[in-house]
Amino acid sequence: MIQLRQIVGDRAVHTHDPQDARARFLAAVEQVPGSASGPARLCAACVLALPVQHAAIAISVAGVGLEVLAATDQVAEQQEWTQVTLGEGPGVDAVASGGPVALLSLAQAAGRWPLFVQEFVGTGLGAMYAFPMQVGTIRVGVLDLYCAAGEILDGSDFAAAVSISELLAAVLLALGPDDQLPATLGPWWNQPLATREVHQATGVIMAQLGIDARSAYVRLQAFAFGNRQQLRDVARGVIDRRIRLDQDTPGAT
Amino acid sequence: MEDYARLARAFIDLTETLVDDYDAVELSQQLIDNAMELLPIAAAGLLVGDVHGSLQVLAASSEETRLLELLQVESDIGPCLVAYRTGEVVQVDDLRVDPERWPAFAQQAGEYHYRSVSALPLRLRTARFGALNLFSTEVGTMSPTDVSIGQALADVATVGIVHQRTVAQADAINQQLQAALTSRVVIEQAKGVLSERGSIDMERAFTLMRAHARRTAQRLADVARSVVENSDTDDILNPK
Repeated sequence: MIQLRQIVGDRAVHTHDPQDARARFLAAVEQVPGSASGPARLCAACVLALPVQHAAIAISVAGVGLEVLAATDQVAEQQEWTQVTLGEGPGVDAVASGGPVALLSLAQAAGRWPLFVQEFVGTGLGAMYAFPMQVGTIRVGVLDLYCAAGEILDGSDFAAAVSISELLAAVLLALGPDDQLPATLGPWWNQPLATREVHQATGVIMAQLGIDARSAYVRLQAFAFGNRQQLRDVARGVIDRRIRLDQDTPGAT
Repeated sequence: MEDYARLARAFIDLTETLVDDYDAVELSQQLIDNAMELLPIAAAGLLVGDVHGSLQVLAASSEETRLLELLQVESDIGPCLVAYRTGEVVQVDDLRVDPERWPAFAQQAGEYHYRSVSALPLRLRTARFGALNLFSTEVGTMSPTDVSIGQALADVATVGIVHQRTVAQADAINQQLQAALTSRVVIEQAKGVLSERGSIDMERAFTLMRAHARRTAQRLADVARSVVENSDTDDILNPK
């Protein structure tokens, strides 16, 4: 694996060739060790093909926001769930704007995503790059890449990441020859349990409080934020009935 | 100078339309209006190919039935069909000469005193989309300059039409994708609602929903949607 990293990571010839970046990525997908499958495999391949330490993919769902789909490890997963919990972050912006967004330092963030940055600064990570996964105007979600301290993506790697994020969108969409989506979402779309539990917990709160889905989701986020917890943990608590939002003094866990 | 000004104005207007929110019919009508203003012609029609490869009239310089009918006859067999299929300009100096070539079209055109016609292809790289038809009551070919102007107008319109199709296609895919994604969100939410209402776990909730869907011959997604939209869940939780 180290050898592959040297091969795919060695860019003696700096090139902006998107074909080259895509080829590197596809080779990396093959080389991912172990039984990682589905979107986790795609994330692992990003880390092999680019000089980044962690990677994660989130899906954009109308009326909900970002859903965490997969991550290379707990570090990336944590950051993704922070974005989902807070509803802010470079990934959120990348999907909304349709263009890449970078978080390079506290100064460079310049007041954007104040809550997210607060969390991020404490992780020891160096930089974060969010690339929207889209095919033309079809928005799928975002690829979030995390660098070690002191590392950034140079121009050529940045361009490669753009090509890779577009390739990921195409893979996920798996458009057929007549540009038809397959009838059912394939295995690349399998949601992790935590993401499903967030929606289940939303349903529990809808029934408990007699409110609509959007309001219930926002209540979940507010509770998580107010208690300094991640959305996925609050969701689990709601499902286990350890947390009830319909009491006067919310918070007992 | 005035000619150049009018020409420039025509292209500026067309490109402004492209930048704004437009539809293909509006764009085509503007193209026809520009052609009528700039070129020595008596009538014009824009035809585009449908999914079956047949030409349909998208815009014409007059709503008069006879022009429309004439275009239709031509679309069946006539110069615009050749222009569409070959991607080449087709000019007929005198429709009375060699009437066997397009008998029905030549005859009908003659009845309306159209003596000559130029059919310019709507094309983008190697793809063909239709034809711009220009009729004159005079015998003779349109000048190369006028043909160039007509072709340039047609090319701008083609870009607009193709772009709009691409956008419409992307919109359709976006909608399909979001429908699939929100559908499964709703199924998870419905599990949550049922688990709370029935004091059951998520697995049980899912099983009951599926059973109800089968019993009532509904799609699971539809059952889930009705659960989430607050309909009576008693039937699902306590099946008879």
